[in-house]
Amino acid sequence: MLIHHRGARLVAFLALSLLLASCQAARRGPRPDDAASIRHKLAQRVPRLAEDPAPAIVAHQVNDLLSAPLGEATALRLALALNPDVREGYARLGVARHELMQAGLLSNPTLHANAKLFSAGPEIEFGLTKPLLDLLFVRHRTSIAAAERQVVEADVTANLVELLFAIRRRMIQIQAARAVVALQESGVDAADTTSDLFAKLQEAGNILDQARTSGAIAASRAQLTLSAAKATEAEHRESLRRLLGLPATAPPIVLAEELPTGLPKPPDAGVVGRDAQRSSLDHAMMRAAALAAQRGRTLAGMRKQTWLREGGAVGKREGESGAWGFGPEIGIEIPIFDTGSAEFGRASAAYRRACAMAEATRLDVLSAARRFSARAGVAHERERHMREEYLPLRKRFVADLVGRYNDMQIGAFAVLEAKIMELGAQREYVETLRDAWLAYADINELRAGHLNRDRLEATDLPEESDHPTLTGGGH
Amino acid sequence: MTTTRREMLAGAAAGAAFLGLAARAADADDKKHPAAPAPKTRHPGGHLPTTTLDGSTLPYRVVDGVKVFHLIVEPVRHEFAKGLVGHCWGFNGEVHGPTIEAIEGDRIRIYVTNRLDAPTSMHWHGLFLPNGMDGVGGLSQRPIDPGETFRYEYTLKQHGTFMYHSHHDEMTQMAMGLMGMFVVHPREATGTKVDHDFVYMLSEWSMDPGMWRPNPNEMSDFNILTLNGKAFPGTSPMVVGLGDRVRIRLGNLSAMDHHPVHLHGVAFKVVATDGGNIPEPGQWPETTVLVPTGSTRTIEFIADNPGDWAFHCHMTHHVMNQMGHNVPNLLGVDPSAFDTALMDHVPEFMESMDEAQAPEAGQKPTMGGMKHGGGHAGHGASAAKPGARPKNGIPMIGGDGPHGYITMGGMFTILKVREHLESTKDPGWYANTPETQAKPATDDELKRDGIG
Repeated sequence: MLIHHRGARLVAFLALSLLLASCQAARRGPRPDDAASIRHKLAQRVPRLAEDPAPAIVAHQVNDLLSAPLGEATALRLALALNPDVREGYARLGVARHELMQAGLLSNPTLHANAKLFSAGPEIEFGLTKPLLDLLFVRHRTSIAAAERQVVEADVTANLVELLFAIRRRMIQIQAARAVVALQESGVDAADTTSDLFAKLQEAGNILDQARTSGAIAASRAQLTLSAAKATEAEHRESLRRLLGLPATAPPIVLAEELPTGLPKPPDAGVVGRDAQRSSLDHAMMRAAALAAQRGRTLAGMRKQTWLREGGAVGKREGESGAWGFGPEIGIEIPIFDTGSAEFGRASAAYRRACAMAEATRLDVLSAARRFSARAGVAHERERHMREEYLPLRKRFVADLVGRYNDMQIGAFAVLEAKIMELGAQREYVETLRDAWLAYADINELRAGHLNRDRLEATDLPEESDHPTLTGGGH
Repeated sequence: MTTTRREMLAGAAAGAAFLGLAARAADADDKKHPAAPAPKTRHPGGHLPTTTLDGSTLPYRVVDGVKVFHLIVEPVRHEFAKGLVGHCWGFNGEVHGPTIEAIEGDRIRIYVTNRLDAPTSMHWHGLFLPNGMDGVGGLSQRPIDPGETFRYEYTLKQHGTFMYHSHHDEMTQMAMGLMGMFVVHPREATGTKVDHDFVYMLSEWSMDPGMWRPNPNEMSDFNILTLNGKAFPGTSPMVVGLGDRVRIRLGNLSAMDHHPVHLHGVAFKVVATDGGNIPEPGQWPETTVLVPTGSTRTIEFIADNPGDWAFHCHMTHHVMNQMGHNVPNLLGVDPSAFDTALMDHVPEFMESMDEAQAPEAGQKPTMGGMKHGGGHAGHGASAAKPGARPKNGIPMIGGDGPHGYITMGGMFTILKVREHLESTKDPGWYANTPETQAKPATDDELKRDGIG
């Protein structure tokens, strides 16, 4: 067993359940309740987690896990165990929990003693006092701390959801980047071959030097494009390593699966909106913050109206008679400088601000549901169009040119050029498929409760690239 | 105009008697042209009817002493050679139009019916006629609209070899095939009598393999060169007897090219142009005659050398079929490297090979291959590579010959001269005697003559 702590095991179980549920949703089509219900369970469980589940995973175990092709489930296990951001979340939960405990505790009473040495004898006075506001407001203070803990719980849970989908996105991007690299390698091979054929013709004296150079330029350019594709893959791989919290000594990541092609129809925007609104951790966090602010305002109002600050008992021994006298003691605030209005006003404003932010978040979630759904719809249609229509046309175009080559109407260069262009179209398809899965991840993350504002603001809408179609002429 | 059945029969009989042909119904489906026309009966005036190989002669009837012809301009599905069909425009179901044949002094009336979707007109190229009959659309007449029939009527004031063609939107309509030959015999025989009088229309087309309609917009890259609308190996041979006097009338209505037509085995003289006869002192022997576009040339010779003799345009690209001019020059390099490159990087190339293993019913398997030798720009194969090719296309060169593959195409046919000619049916290949047949030199021969 790699992860020993009970709390960490629970997190792993819940997060894996969420992962598998969302994977199934992606493979089988829309499952409106999966992500939301599991997120709800996760949100309920997280507050009971221990705040510092130190990872009991050692280097050789990391190596063992990475020795096999990495799937999402294993990736999440590693991230929960190794990612310091996860531990930071646990720690924040601990802080919140102890702040709640602290809020429920009464402050300790203060024992005062003084003695005055008169000639008739010493006068001794004992007093035991305690701030009364503690006593009066403990219930309100506790409820504020509880609301603030809810804020932290929702935030930490949202961070876990975000981590899960960040891992998924990186794996999608790596799979796509790897496919692009493979296509580009084929493109480089074809361009190199074309360049070699140009060289043969030039050496035979059949074409101009510039034609040979042109072929070499194309091959060189293809190499540059391959380098860029490899760099992109490396970027995503490093990003995934960081998300998993892998140590520098960990072996390279090898992914388990190719980029899947079975893209289901995206869920309806209305369904996404309802799911997202019901399970939104961001909105829950804002509502909890508003609740805390509301209670803070109540407390500020009560403080404003309560002048009594301290109370206690005092005992005094008179010096001459030596008799002891006991009686109560109170401290009353005299509100001549600070009437408490400013504090109350600040608390009221904070409450209104929290309410506004909660409403804004609600609108953001609904807007994101529509936006992500629209993007997924477009991505789904683009993927279908490219797979069913565009790519077959590109292949057919190559086949048509092969026929013309067989008929000696054109040379091999035109066919190779068309093939290279078809590889470019396949690359475009991989990128389209990648963007579609990313759009689906955006939707599922939102339905799982987390609004990813970085993705919301991403403006990488598909742009039409220019892929001219050869007429079949030329060499 | 009304025509009685008697007049119709009389006219048909007269036509048949003159032409030696049965009147041919203007049926678009009837496109069978016998490779061996029936023997012709010489006209009482001494003239022999012409032979339009792979074509026909337009029948006529006589109405009140006027020879009446009917040309129907219409779309025609035309076969240039086996495996290559074009959606062309023609006359009476043929491409090109049937040869009009008459006698100097004849009054002729030609009805032209337009069954195209486009207006047209008909010009009688080289003939002396009233200006209003000249057929230039917009100049000498209004165009013949679709569905209309125009009447052209005039008296033939000259004899010689002429042509007819559309003179409305010429570039398009001639590129689609609207042209034909027009032969006027002298009223009284002049000069020598010939035993064979062949008529050829030279023309050029642009239609890439896989296309079905000629491209009239092409200005320079013509890839189908035809004799009477046929490209070798679709051309029929001229069959003559040894010692026969042969006349060949050549008309050229190619869009952009002249044609130096070369005949092997004999020398000939150019005896006439479309401007008239050339006086004998002005004739000289030669073996190649340049036929400018828009002109006719008539050559005569005695077929005194038996054998199978090539007759072709000497522009080398004019004896190619559907040649790809966009291929690199592979001479001096190993052409297999290019196939290998495609095998390595283009799976569709190998798939095309598999596809080619099962040709469609009725489709001739791909010709070509190394066995034929030759080579086009170093490809190493003669006509085409193995593998699936566009439908509706023919190899660039080639037809089977007695000694292998004849590496010619387009504007090419064969003059077959035989000592004993029983009919004009194709007699098969000429068998040279061993001593007159080129063959590999023996070591003894090389040694005898001091050849290394």
